[in-house]
Amino acid sequence: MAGSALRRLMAEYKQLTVNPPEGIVAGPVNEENFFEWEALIVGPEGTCFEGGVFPAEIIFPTDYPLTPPKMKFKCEMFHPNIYSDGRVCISILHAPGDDPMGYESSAERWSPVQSVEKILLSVVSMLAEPNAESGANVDASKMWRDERELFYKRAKEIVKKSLGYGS
Amino acid sequence: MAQSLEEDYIYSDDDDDDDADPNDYYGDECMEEDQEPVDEREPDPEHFDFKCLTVSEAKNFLDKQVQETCGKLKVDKRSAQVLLMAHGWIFSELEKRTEQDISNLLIEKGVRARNIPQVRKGGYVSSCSVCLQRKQPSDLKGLLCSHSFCKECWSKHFETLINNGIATDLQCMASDCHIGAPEEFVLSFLEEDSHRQKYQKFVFRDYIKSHYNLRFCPGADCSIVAYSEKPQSKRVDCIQCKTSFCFNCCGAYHAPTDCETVKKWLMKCADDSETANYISANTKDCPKCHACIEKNGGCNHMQCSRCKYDFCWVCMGDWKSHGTEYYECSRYKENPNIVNENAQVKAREALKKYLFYHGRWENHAKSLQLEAVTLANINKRIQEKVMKNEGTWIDWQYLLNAASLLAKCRYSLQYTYPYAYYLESGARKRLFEYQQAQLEAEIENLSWKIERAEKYQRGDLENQMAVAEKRRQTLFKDFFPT
Repeated sequence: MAGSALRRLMAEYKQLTVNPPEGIVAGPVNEENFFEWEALIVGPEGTCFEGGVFPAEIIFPTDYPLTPPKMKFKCEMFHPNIYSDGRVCISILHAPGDDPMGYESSAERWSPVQSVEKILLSVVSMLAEPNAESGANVDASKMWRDERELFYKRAKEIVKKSLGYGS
Repeated sequence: MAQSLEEDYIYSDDDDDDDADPNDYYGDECMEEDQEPVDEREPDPEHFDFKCLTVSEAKNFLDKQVQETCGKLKVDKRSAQVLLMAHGWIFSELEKRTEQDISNLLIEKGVRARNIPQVRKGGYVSSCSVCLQRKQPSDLKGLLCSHSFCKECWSKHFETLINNGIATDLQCMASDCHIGAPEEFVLSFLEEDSHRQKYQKFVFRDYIKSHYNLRFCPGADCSIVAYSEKPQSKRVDCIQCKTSFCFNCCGAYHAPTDCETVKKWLMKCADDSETANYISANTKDCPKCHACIEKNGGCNHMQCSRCKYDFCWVCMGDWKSHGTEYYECSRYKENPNIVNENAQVKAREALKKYLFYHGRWENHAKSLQLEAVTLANINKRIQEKVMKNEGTWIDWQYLLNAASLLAKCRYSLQYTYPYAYYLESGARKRLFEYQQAQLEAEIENLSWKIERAEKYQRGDLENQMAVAEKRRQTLFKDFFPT
């Protein structure tokens, strides 16, 4: 089981290093253990998270890619689809049948042909377009829906903090 | 209730009644013959036609429906299954959709592919895009959509999802490909018997769950499937495990209350909404910072622990203005905080009302349990009497019938309380509460007489049984929709 997971992860790592998508860096924390990765995600341009650099960890299960990995931001985040402890909640990280937030069935789910790259790209688009319908952080969802300006202000602070400024 | 009337008259194999399991207790209906015949013009509101099917009977029933659909729509078995499932197995509903365009419907449901991509040929070596291992083309398998993966990955993929309880929803592994995996395809990759069995069990479960006319018996470890031509919120008594449940919601039978009301009631009992009510009934907000304060001592000079504001609990005014003249707190009437008062009074009333109904609900539930103990004692007493040659075993059966009727009536009485709680005040509620009170009085009489059965004549007890059952039926006729 773990053998094929390792092979897949090594291949994906190679692919990401040779051909990295814009604004994303990812790889194992330590080449001894391919099941724990860290990633740096740049806040997408033209959004309230623009300019931020957000570190995250990705933990893979031993039966990867049959079951999806878990992703968690390591810095302070304020976003409707990120739990206050940093865990990311988007449809691609959930297998079909696993439905904590009541997604629409049409939303893209985890499948064994998905990849780390696809997840990270989804996370980038999640940063650009929060989905307040399936909120993991209720306060953030509410602010995004009702007080957009305030949300943008809050996001700017998060960006500053991610760069080491601010309190 | 509809089906095993004959069995109700058989006394000889009543051994089951010896143990006092409350389920047995209520499920038993051996006093049916004591009821007055139901008036033909007024159908029994509790009457419900249903059948209990075993797993194989249910499977045959489904197979028959699938075959009929195959014939009528001229489709294969798999298409018929998927289409029926998507329409609650109601053929007329399905027919409405298929009149227009059956092939689009099959594409939508993932039975057929929209465009079948050309299968790549000629490559000697290719790889599985899941495990990235090189495989012979013959080892790569796929569905109609031609997304091919190796056998190992398919089987691991299916095993993982089946372990998560997914069966009829298994799909192609490719992202955004919604082609469903037919049963034979899935089974061809499952080698272990345990996986195959689990898969087939889940497929059956998915079929029943999607079926308009079929329900699983909610009893623990019970495999019976109940069938009804016209599903209604009526009682089903499982012939195997004796569980009584509502066909519509599969919860415990809850007449005369309807499914939605009882669900609301049970949720209300389970959640802590009443805690919030308690808080608003027993606390006041600090007039300055609005922190919630519970008075835990006798002194009415309060100091908010948060903002340190001193105020008077009685008039909610600033304590300073009271000076030392506490006992003449004259500000009470001058400055009544009407808005807060009202909210508090309302919350207190709401809580009182809920506690009133919930107390009675709980009390009858407890009585039911205690009377199950009485039943066990009755059995013991009958044994003793028979041993002492005081009448034969058959002579004393009326006591069991009485206990059984008592349980039935009390159970209904218990479920009248949620009904009353949600009933709006008015003439109808007054009538309901009148009938409820009548029923309750007769039930308590019956319970009294059963506990002291030796002191009462058989005729007396049987008369009481008839009265109690009559009261129950009267209430049901007026308040339980047929």
